Amino acid sequence: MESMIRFGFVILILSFNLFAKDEEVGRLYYKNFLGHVHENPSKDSTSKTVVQCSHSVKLLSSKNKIDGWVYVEVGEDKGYIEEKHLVVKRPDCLQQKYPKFYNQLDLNLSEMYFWGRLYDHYFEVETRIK
Amino acid sequence: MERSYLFIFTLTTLISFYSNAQEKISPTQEEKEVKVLNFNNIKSVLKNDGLISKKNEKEKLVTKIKEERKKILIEKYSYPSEEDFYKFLTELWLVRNAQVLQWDFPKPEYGIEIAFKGLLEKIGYYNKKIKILMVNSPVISHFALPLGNNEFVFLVSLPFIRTMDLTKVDIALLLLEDYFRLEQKLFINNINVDKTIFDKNFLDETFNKKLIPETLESYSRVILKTGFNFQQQFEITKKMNEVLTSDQPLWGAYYKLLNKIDRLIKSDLLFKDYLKIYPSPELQLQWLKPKKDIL
Repeated sequence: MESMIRFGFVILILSFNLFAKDEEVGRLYYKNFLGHVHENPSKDSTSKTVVQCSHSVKLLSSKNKIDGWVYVEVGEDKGYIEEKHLVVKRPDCLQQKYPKFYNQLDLNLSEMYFWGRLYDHYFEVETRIK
Repeated sequence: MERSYLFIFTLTTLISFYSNAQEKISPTQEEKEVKVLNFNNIKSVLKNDGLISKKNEKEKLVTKIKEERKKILIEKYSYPSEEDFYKFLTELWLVRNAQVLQWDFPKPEYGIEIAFKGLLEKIGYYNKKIKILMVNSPVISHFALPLGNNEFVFLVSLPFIRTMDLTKVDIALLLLEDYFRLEQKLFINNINVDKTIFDKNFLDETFNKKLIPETLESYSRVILKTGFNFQQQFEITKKMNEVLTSDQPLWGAYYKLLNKIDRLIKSDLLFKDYLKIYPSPELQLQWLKPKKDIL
């Protein structure tokens, strides 16, 4: 009887871990023109989806926290985005400022992919008064 | 008895007088209707009720809403401002030339941006947003493009810096040259852009379909083929000389760098087109040489 109870307890714990959902810890906005949600916290990791400027991104708690990266959910995809590309307030975006001009760019999927990749490859700094 | 008769008489007199007075003051039904139909009277009533002012306020509000809606519509159809236009077009050019430039490749942190930031801050250029994009192709050696207000993107060729065996200081000096080219608007002056579109809209006219392809073509021509002329190069060399004179080690590093480039382009066919873009390191060296005093 005791072993049955133990077995049931173990099954309960296992099933709890199996169906446990990533907890939402906040929301941020994507600030660049276009960008990628990566499978792993690395610039060269596979892209899971493309996000546009001012896209709301759900922040999820992650077990393996890596400096400079956050675990997010965008639509049905979960993955990693560099923290520096996200902001608290909805940003001003060129797509929204000039929607009709943006349509004229007539971007195809491949171009949207590369545009997002640009922000992965830029090395960025800002000069300041010392 | 006499008293009571007197009281009744006085009372009836007063009542008849009052009723006569009432008939004179209160208007008839027709009179009332005329008064109601009298527009001036309605106007005064409306005015007294504040309805006219409310109507005027509403009309003003409707006009304002119409104006705002028109403004929003115009904004939607606006051509970008000059700064936003270059941000759009520079990145679009990089995207459409991704295969030529080969910038989408895994790379480590080189620390070039830190060295360049240090140099800019050392000579007093603040609040500049710098983006560096490493390209894995020799079609470009180094080049800077505008990205908006105080924002610039610097393209640096990995094969070029490897072949030249450039240090971070060398690369930072090359980027400083590029920065001055942007600051003096040499790139913008060299490309053909229809500058009349800035801050205008295409709500009542068709969009200029040639604008984007022609500008991109112009970008390609300047970046990959024509570059800058001798006069522009002279201005940049003069500026570099002015800025670096006060820091002799840096000035020396710049002089050595130009020597290095001069040697490379004369010996390595891969970079033979360098002269077309930046003429010419040999002349730059001559311009930099201190003039000897004739005794």
